[in-house]
Amino acid sequence: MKHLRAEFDDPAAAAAAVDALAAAGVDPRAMELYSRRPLERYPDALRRRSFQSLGAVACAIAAGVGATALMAWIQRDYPLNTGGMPIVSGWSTGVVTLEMTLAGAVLGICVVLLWESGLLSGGAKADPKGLPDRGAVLLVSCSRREAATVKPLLDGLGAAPSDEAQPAAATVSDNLY
Amino acid sequence: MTTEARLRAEADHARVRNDLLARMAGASGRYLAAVALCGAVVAWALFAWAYQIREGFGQTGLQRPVYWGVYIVSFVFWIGISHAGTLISAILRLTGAGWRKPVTRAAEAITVFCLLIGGLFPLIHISRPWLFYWMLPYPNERYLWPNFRSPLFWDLAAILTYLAGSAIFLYLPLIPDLAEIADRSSGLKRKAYRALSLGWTGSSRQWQALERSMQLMALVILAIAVSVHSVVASDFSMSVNPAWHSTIFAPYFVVGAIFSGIAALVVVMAVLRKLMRLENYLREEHFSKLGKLLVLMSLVWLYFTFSEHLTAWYGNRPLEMPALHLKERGAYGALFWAMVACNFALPFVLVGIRRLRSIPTVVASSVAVLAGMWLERFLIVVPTLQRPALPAAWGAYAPSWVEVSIGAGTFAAMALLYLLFVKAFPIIAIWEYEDEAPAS
Repeated sequence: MKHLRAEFDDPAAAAAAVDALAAAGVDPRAMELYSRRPLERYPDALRRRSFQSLGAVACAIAAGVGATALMAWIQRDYPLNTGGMPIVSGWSTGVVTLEMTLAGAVLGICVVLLWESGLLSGGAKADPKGLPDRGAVLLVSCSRREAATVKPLLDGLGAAPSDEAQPAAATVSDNLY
Repeated sequence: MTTEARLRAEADHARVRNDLLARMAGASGRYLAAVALCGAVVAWALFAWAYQIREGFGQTGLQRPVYWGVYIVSFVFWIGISHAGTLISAILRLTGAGWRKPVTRAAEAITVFCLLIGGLFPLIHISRPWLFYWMLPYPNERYLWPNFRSPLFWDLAAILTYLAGSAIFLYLPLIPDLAEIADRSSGLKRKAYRALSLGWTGSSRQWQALERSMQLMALVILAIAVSVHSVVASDFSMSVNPAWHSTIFAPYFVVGAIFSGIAALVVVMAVLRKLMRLENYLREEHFSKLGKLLVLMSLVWLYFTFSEHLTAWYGNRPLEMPALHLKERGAYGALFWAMVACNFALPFVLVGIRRLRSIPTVVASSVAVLAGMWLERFLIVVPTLQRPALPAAWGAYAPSWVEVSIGAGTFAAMALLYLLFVKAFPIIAIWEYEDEAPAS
């Protein structure tokens, strides 16, 4: 397995190239775009369904319920003199429940972020060392036989004009990573 | 965007990136002098704290009936200022205000540092800080658990949540910049920044995940921020003391917190602008927009203050009136009206009048607001305690040198943390910066 590397001056052209490659039959999971700044538009082929909201809500519920259960148990385990008020009160434990729920949401967002981005888990396909200051770099993971098909495709896509004024410069190299 | 415009924007961005990273390198004599001065004040404050621990809490001016003084005032003040990061970063991020980008990180850093400093005051105030863990719910040989009905426990839960959330809110958008610094460093520095950037490569997968998480974090952190200052307000409003037991206290505290947070951000920006020569990034328009927010919050603060005092005055309750009179006309009358002048009159005139609005007047108003908001916290805490229900128990309070030293030391600590931060991390988010490049 090797990585074909294509550099694009225009991130929009890079995104379009990814979609075009996907349409031509290249597996989207084998492609990744790298840039120093977020892209204005991500290629449709690389858009991923996110579970961050779900993770945040799930962790928030778990933390809130867990904290409430712990408080209820503790308050029954060692009942304080409450001056006639209930031993376990929704009003007072509610404040801590809210805080722990929000803490759970923060934790959930972080965990799912680390999972989805591939940070920590080593999920990044490759490190395209020496990212250019401008544009984007496309890495395509493929076998030597597939590379023979993909490389001309990339050459063709890069040569396409990015807009009316100037063609995008796409340089394709078959560096091994 | 045309190719020409895109290429110009990319060239500008590369120049801005190099410029901002270059400002992190080296340290001028002025910078070192500032670090030394702040370090000396912090060292003096630490000495005062150590002295208090050794000699006992009697070294403070706290005595019956005033058991809360400068420490609790400072606690509320610093937690309030921490709202700067939340307002500027989270609200403006959610509303898509583009002008926030150069000031976002400065604001987020304020939040984290203020929480660290504010969270220190309860530890100082309990006098035996090594026993703070008694507040935590853990199985112990005393078979004692914390009292979950106590607003002081709510404080612990709220502030720890806010601190963790804010630190993450600051850290997440730092990751791409940390990777950028690692790429341009070598040796141990490169390894350290690489580790901090968690192996960031700039893939579209990572950018998409980061952008999504920042949106979600902004929502959650807003809710946390509002809840935190409501909880801090409940330290007072849950008691039945005169002038504290008020349903308006939670929103009143939140408004005051946002108000002082904006003022703190303006002051920090002005100092950074001078110290790091960021005139091309932190421009007049940023100060002008923050100035307008300051005036808006000043009016909201005035509305809440008026409502709070009008209700207390109209009620004419025998228990409440002595505290109100002490605050408005008695020993603290001058401080009360100074607070109104600082929090309303000065910002309204200097920033509200368009012709007078400039960077110096916005900064001067912000300094006045910070002073005014400290006074406001003082006037909430102390007069009520000086006038308990039983007139025979009335008392007075004057802070000792220990309290003044520790209080002043925290301002120096804030400055010191900031000075160290700006040399270790870019104070403007490089990857987010999309404005015009500096003219020079």
